[in-house]
Amino acid sequence: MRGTALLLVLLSPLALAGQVRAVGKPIAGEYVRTHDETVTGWAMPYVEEYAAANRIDLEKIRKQLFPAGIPAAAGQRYSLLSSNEHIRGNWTFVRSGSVVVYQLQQVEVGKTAEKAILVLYNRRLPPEVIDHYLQVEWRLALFDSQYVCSADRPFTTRIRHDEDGLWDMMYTGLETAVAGPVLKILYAHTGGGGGRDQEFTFWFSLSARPWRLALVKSAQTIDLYR
Amino acid sequence: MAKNVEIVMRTQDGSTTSVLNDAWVYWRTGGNIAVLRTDKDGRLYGATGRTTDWERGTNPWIYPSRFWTALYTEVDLYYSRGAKPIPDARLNEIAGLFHHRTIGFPLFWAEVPPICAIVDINLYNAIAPEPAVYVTIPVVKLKFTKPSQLILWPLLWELIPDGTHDDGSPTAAYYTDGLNQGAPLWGGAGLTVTDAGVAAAPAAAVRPKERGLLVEGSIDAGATGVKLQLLDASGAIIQLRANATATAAVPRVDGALSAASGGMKPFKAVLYLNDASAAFGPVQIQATSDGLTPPITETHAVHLAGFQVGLVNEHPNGTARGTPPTEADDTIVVDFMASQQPTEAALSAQTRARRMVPYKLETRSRPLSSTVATQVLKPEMPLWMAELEIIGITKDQLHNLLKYRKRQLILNPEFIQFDLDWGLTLSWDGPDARVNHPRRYLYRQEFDDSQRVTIRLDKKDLLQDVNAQGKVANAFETAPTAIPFPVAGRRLPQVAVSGVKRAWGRQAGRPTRDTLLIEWQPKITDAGREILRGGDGRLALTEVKIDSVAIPLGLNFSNAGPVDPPAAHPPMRSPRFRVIGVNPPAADVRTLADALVEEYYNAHNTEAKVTLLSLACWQDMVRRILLHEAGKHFDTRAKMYQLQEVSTDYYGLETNMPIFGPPHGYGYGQHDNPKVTDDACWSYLENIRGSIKLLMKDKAQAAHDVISAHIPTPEDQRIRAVYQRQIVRSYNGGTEFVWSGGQWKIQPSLARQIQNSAGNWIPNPRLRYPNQVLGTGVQYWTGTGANASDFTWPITFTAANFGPETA
Repeated sequence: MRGTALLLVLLSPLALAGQVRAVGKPIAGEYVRTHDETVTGWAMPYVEEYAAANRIDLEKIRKQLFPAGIPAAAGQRYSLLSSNEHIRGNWTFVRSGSVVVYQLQQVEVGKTAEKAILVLYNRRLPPEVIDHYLQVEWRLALFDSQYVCSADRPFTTRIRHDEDGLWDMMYTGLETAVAGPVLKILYAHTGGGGGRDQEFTFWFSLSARPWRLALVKSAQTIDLYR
Repeated sequence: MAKNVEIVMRTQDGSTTSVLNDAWVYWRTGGNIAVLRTDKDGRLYGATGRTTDWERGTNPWIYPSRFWTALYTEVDLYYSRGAKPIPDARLNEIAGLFHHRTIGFPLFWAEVPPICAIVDINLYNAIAPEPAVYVTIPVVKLKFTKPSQLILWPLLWELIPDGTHDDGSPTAAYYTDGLNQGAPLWGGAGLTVTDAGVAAAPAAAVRPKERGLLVEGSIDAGATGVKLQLLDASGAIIQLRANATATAAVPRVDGALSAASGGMKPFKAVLYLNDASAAFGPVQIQATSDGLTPPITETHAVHLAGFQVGLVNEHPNGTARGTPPTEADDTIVVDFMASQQPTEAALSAQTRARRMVPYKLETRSRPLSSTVATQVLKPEMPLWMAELEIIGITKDQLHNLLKYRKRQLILNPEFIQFDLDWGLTLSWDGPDARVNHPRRYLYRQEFDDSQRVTIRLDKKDLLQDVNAQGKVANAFETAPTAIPFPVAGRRLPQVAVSGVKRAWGRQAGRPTRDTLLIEWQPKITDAGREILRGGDGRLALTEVKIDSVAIPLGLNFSNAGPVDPPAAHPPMRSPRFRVIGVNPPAADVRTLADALVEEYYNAHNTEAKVTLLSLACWQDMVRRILLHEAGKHFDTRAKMYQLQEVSTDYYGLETNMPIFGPPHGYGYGQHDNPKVTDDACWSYLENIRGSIKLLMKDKAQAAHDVISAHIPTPEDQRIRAVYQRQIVRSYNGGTEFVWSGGQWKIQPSLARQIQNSAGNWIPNPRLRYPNQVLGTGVQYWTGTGANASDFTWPITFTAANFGPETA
């Protein structure tokens, strides 16, 4: 009985996962100039800066994730976007109707320090994400050092409160825990009456040789709807 | 009759005889001491024959007359090598110090260094050899290594511990002495101290302590001890204290000797002044041997001065030098070391009361911007001028010090140069700061600058470029530039060598002394843009060099004895101060909001979502929404606050700090999403500007997206009223209208009912938000609203419910 339990533990995704470390050069913070501005590109400004600082070819990533091209932004519509890891004293958000890549992080996995790139993205444009707030599919993709997409894992946020037009801002976060990435997606209302935050957290396991990226657990971690 | 001879001085060290050059020689006959000087060859010169005031008065190194004495003169001799001669009284009080000599026969001419004779052409010149006598006395093996000679010798304050929760140090007693802390701060009726009231002075025991002055040197290995004392300009003994905690005055202290090496023993002493402020000025450190026969003594000349920083608010106009605040200006500041706690008791334990100088974020009527001339009440930072105060030096003393340095220091410097690294730190932890969250508010910002200041002697050895007011022109290597805000005509920082007096320390009523002042004007800007920041502040000089050498910092007190200050600590630092907000009057907020709306309206007057409503309508809507939100920017009383709708946590709200609403809302517009910026947190103007942009850009866009498919041509009051109401609803969350039966009807996207704490279904209170803001009377439900049938939606939007300014 004890042996079976041990085997189950060892076979669990967490146990299989190697140690995951965030790597890469830190960015200088040029993106703070985009505060309160409208971003017309397809990646958040700190993503572009991080890619440039670490010589990550975003175009190669785009071609694999969106071989047919990024969807065209629809008119003037946009959402307010922010990032847990990149909020600063004078950078708190941007507006965008075109961003699809929200987080980018180089990681090393396991004792052999296999390098990979994690990409948090959405196949919908920001206003459409908001439109579908009741159920939104997000994706976490994994690229190896040769830009081969080794995993592309969908996961879903589900807001239980049907109130159209309430949420208009999104925060994303990509943390690196020992077992793998931890993603946070938060929807909030801007303006008066409180943010009525809806935060969802997703725990992934990540291991190398071969690359394995798996959703281990998910939970709604904040619900301030009232 | 005795013949006159000249004297050439030599020293004897064992079997080695050396010329005594460039030394003071004390020639005592009949109980009187004549101070003589040797040249590079050891020949004695006297002070007689100085012909000008310049020579007589302030240039004691000029010894123009060759010294003659009679053969067989009985004389007592001693010498020293310090920059200044040892005062007679100090020499005479040391028994057995002098060496008795009888001036003997002249030496052979060949042994005596020749002196060039002046020979006039075309005249008869009689050249005759002049008799000279070698006089040899024992070498004085006593020298100082610290401090350097002829420096400004700084006395510094020990730094007050941080007293913040993030650096691990306990709250420093200077801030908290005599004030309740933690739970005892709260009584039945609220706080047990007067928040923002005048703070009583702290007890003397908790005031910052003066550091010890370190003296190091070496002395003849035969000495069994060394005594140190300080002499003032007249040679009188300056009273000391035996150690850092002693209160009794003593004339001298013992130095500590180390093991001998090379015939010398290093010594070290720490001097604590009994009355520092009175002692500042030109001083000599005198060291005297114990256990040597005959004894030896030596002095070391420096200028002792108190170094401290000050921060003056030159409000309102910044045109005249102000006075730094003292303890009498301190007020009681109640805050929370770690706010957002799960229980009231836990938050209560985190409450802190400190005495701090408040600096106000004042308001001033100014044009809104360079493009909008409307006069509005704008907030502003204090008109700060920071000071390095070098206390206890007059212009003449500085002048004298520079001349001494030029004559006596190896490189003959004609200037004194200060390199200063300034740092002004502002920081604040908001009520939601303790719990890690991307939108919690805490900030820390450094405003740094460096200065190089040079004070020079001119070719006549006068202080260069000093005007009648004591200001030194061109003293800054990089000329300061004027700060054009918040008011024109602010003065520039200056270096002043006279006309300024400052007190040593913060204690009120202390005597002032002449002060050499170096000013620095902190620029609280972001890429040149005027910004607002508040909360806790502190001014520091993170590095101070004089002539490219870091100043000696002195020694801190510890129970184990004097210790070096921690390497990470700056040489000088002010106590923490508080930068507090001032709420503008409501009427001025309305004027400001109107102007900001106009600014946005005019900048976006080609956008349909802006021009669909009149400027007056936007202005009215903004006023209504902002008044409906916080209604002020800075909180007016400290309290422990809970908002159960959001969290069961307790938040500590602080007087005069940005008003807070859980979970993360700050300021007039309660910026929460997006997170408040530093600018919007501290400037009510930027906060309101942000709210206006959110309303006129983002909420307007969302509302316009809703109605854009059914905008009539020409636009009429109905569509304007629909648009206005949709914007208001959008600001609070949700949509208000649906297109139904060919017209816009009210059918909010909100839940119609919610359950109250008793579990009963009640109408959603948020439904009435547009009515509350616009003053309309749309009936969202009938009866009690407890039944689904009470909601007869969609609701026809009648002209009676059109909002203001939509006609």
